Amino acid sequence: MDNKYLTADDVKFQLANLRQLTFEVTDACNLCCKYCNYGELYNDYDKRKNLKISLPASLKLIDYLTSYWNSDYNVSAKRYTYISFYGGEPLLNMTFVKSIVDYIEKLPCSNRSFVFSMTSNALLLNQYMDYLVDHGFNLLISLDGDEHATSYRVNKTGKVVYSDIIRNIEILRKKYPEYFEHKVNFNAVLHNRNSVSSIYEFFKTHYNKTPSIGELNNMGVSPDKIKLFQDTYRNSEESLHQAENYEEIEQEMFLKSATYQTVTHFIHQYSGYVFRNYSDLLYGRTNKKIPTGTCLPFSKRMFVTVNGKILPCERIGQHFALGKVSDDSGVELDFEMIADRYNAYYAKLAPLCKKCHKAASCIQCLFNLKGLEDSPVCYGYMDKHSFEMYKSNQIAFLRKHPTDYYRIMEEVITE
Amino acid sequence: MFDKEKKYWLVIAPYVYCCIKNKQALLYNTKNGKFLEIENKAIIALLQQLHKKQNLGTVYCKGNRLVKPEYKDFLCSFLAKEMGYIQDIMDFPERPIQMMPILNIQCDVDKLQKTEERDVGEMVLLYLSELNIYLYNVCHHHCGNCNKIAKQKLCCYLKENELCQAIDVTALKHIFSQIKYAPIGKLNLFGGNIFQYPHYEALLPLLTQFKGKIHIWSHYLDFVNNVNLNPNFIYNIIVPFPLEKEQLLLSSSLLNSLQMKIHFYVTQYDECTKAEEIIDKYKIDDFSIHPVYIDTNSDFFKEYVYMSKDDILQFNTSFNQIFIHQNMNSHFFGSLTISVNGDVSANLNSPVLGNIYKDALVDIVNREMIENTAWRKIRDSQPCSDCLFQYLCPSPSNYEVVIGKSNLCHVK
Repeated sequence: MDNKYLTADDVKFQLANLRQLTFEVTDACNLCCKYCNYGELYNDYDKRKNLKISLPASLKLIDYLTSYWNSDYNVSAKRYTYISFYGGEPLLNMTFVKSIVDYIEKLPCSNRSFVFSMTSNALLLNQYMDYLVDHGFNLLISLDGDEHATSYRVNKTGKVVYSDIIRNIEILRKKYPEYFEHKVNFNAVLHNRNSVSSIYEFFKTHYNKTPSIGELNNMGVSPDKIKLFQDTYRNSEESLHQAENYEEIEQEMFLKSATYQTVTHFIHQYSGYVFRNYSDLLYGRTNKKIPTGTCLPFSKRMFVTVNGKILPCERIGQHFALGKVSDDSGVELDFEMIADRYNAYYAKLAPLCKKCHKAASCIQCLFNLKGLEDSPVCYGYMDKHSFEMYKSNQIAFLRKHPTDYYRIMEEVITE
Repeated sequence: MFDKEKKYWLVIAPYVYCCIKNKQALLYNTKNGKFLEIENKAIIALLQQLHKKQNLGTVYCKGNRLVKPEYKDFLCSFLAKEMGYIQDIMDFPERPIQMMPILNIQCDVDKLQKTEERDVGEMVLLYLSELNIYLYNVCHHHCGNCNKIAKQKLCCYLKENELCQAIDVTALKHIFSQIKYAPIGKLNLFGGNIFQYPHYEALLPLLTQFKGKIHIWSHYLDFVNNVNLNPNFIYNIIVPFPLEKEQLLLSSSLLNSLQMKIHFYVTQYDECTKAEEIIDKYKIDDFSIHPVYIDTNSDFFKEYVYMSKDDILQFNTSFNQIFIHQNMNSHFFGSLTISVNGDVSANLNSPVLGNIYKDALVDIVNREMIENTAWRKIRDSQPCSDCLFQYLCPSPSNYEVVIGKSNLCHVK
């Protein structure tokens, strides 16, 4: 291939220095949220069959990765690696979670420290909180705010489960106050029954926490559900700016707000004073050569679905699987094929990126581009005029919030 | 120049380095190397205003302030040296802002140590850029100062009273396998007499795996007439004074097409002159003349090595270089030295970080990042810490360590 942006060795290198391994523990869920990525709105996922991920296959994957972590491809003396459990609802398959935790804790890999994390709806938290606390899990609880805001979170019978979730959270908070303070965070989905400010106020008032707020996923929406999607969807920036005290909320949310994420990215890219590491400072920053802002495969994480598909991220369609793991065949990752596939995508997008004025600071994941396989459309593309507008907006923000420049420069680690 | 009835924005350019110490200030334009030394209190206060967080490099000034002689004189020089600009607020009502030069190293050691679930050891082997390996400690020359030279500049050396030793080939294999994916650009191999290293033949196939440049260091008397030379290597020829057989520098092996650099190590002015004569006489293109400190040549060092203010200011120092001088040692960072007994240190003057026979290189690099025996040594002690030119000055070198003085300059 002419455009060899990525080699098989690059992919192996990323695998050997992986930051996060996420298991889709089960596709079963004790909730039936109206906006769920695996629900009625979407069509780009494997059909949910109340499956549980295979333990033998997952252990094979861990062994496989351990061989890389212990290989000469590893360049870390010590690195924290997140072992994450995702669902469906992961607490529905605690047998798997416990087996993996037990296995990882005995893993012969001196250059890794493992941190466990889980995203849960907290409905079964009362049963398993002791275990999660004992093993230091970082726990991200999905909750959309107050009772009305959480009313899309219903069980199979359609009953709103807000009060059950709140009860479990209260038990956890009372029983393990220190754990709750340091290890528990909240994740809310923004929709037409809440707003950024109401979500923010709810978590600040009740738990003194700043939640992460996500929008509905706009990829893979079923054509017949587009109207429903549009009715339910809310844009986080628009929602935030409708609040009277939006600046205060934004400052508190800091990097959890889109505005601060954007300005941080701008400053990090264009101030000229941000370096990934000491080598970049000493020898100069290497210019970005790979088209789009897509993460290199496995540079940030690996996601394993309940069916054993291996993906570079849980936020992309499962048809982009890069390999698989099974009880019989173990791990099947063809590094040449992965590199070729990425190179083909890069080559396809390169002409567009070449014309884009924001290419150097692009954060657009190619897997989230519309029409990737045929004629990709990039909503992050900027011509000269829109790039100037973008720059001028960031400068205007800094003019209004000059000390935030220092806050970003002095505090923020994004790498 | 200024209208005292008007109001202005005074803006300092982000590429202007400002250092304020005691009652003095230095402004240094990193684009053109022009500088201003300031002692006037009011101007220093103005500079402090410009650098306040809420100002982002801009202050509001009334014209009647700027027309005062002290401001006017300063601003004339400031503008002439392209250190910033002044705008009439009537013409530019919107306050200009600058992204001020605040260094942000994402994987800064202190930051990582303070951040939960992060570690200094992440991807740390990528910092290793140069490896010096002493393969063999047998040599039949009597250079006298080689021990001292090697602690100041790259050179072969023998430790006094050290038993005859050679690095084991298995250890070398292990080293090469560990650095397969590290971005090491330069490998320096030394003896004793490197060509007599008992495993030299076994070493050659290992070197073919190495992607960076391979430098072989040899005393000129060992090098001449040596037939076992490889055009892919870069040969560094060590020429200490006094020269035993100058004519051997004319040897055919020195005149062929090999990649080669001649290193002269001088302790006195006479030796410098001699080195220059030889360079002219034999038409040597690629060479270095290295001053070497030997306890008795302080005056030579003061005259030819110590820096004056003019020396410091003669080069145009970029902001990146200033950041480097503030945070890391540009001479030492990224380099490890493996002694013949397997001991690994960041530098021959630094404490041993580990041993290649029992420690992984990645752990040794990590130890250096945490313990900082050399890689991040900066000019942060007195008298440099009181000097306005503290970070315009190059990083402290081995000379400072060997001489036992934290600055080698005439400024402080």
